[in-house]
Amino acid sequence: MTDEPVVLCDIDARGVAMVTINRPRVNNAYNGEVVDALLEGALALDADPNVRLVVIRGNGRHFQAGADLKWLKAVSAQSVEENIEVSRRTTNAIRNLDNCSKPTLALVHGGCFGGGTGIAAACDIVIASEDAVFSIAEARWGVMAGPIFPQLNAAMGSHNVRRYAQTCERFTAAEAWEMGFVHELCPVGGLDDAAAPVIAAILSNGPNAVTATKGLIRDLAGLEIDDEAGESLARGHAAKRLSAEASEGLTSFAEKREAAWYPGAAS
Amino acid sequence: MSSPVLETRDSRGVVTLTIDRPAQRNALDSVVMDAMTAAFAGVAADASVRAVVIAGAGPVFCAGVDFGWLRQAQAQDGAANRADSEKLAAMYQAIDACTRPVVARVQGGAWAGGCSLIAACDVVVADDNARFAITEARIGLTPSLMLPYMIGRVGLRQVRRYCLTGETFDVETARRISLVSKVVPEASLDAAVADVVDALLHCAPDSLLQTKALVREWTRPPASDAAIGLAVDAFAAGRGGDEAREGLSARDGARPPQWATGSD
Repeated sequence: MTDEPVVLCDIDARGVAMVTINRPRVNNAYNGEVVDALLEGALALDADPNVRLVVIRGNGRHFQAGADLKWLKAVSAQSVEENIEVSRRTTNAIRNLDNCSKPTLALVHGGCFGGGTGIAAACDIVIASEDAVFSIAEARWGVMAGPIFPQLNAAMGSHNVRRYAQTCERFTAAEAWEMGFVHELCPVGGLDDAAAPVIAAILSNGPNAVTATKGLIRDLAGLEIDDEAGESLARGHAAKRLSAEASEGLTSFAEKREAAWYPGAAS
Repeated sequence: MSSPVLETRDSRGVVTLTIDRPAQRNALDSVVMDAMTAAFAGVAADASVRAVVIAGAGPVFCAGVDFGWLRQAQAQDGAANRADSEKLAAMYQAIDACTRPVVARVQGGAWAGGCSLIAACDVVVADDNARFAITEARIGLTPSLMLPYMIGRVGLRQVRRYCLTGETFDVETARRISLVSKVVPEASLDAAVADVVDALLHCAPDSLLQTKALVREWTRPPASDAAIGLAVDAFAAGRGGDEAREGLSARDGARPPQWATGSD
């Protein structure tokens, strides 16, 4: 066991905040602790006058493998209210990142699944190395990715979300680039080199001009998710997690078998 | 004094508007803005016009707004600064709202306000050496006036990158993100524009009017008066602000602005 924080944050002299999701042994899968760290971290970095831009990446072999399904199963055994609260915090973690008034840059390598795609979609810019692979796989486990759909629709186009969130198919970095979700591709191991000119470009711009630009882009595009919409997303998310279908899906994952709804699956 | 926007019209009803300030890389000052807006008012009033082509004289389509025009804001009160910003917004709005199809002929490239011009057009033909950048934030301005058009044109995802970074991108990238419709070798630019115009003239005029009106109505976000009002507020705030003062002063002194060096 280790006492290392599940999310690391380092702010350099230029005002570049490097946020690293740090649960490499479970492919940076998120649990309540990671959600809380992202939820509060996004607000703190937004409020910190020394921070000019935020970079997010994953430690280890993957960017972020989505929810920790063991944790999710445990949550689903808790009360309705507790489930709503977990979903509220998950929803707000993505909302806070999406709302950050400073530019945000995701550096994606390896797996980027479920909530990981939500993190990438909530960032302004995504650079991925060629080994990156994506999926919006919630429905595979009988749960539902509602809290990240607003960001995914905006980042991938709803025509792509309609495919990938319903089939749960994986898509490659090159496919993500073609659909515009990923802005830039780089060789494996080349994320820092690829990010450097983008970071330098942002730092050469007037900080207030950048913040004003981002704010107006968000206003004109109608990206704001108000509290009522956020609460609705959270409640739908929690209700699906508490369904019999989710129970079967998460159990099938734990038992490494097909879920009962798959034709021909042994139940 | 001759107009900085040359207007020609052929027997088919094709109007060509050429920004004619090649020594200033066709930078947009208040005279150009007024002339362009007036030209589009003329098009609006003349039902026999079937298509408009916007071009720039010399090696570069348009370098953006004129730095002298930007600098004026330092000596202006809020009302005069806002009126200038409205003038620029009115030009983009006149292009976007033109009921007839508008084609941009882009050689060399477009920067900042030059990108706004083409974002408000329907079809953009560019040569294969053209380069583009949305550089407003480099000098402490916001590219706010283009956003109602640019978000609809290239999509939110690309706007979030290129408006926040000011990075230069090549014509192939511009085509991939749909800022540019067609890329051709420089020697073929006129022929390629002529092909697009010819295609437009094959289409029935009333069909095109209705088609363009519906496309504009269903574009999200709409370039509504409310959206443009917000954009003008943001542009005027940037143009008259401290960052623009520093950005222009740094440019005059051929030094990096304070925010780029990290020093105070």
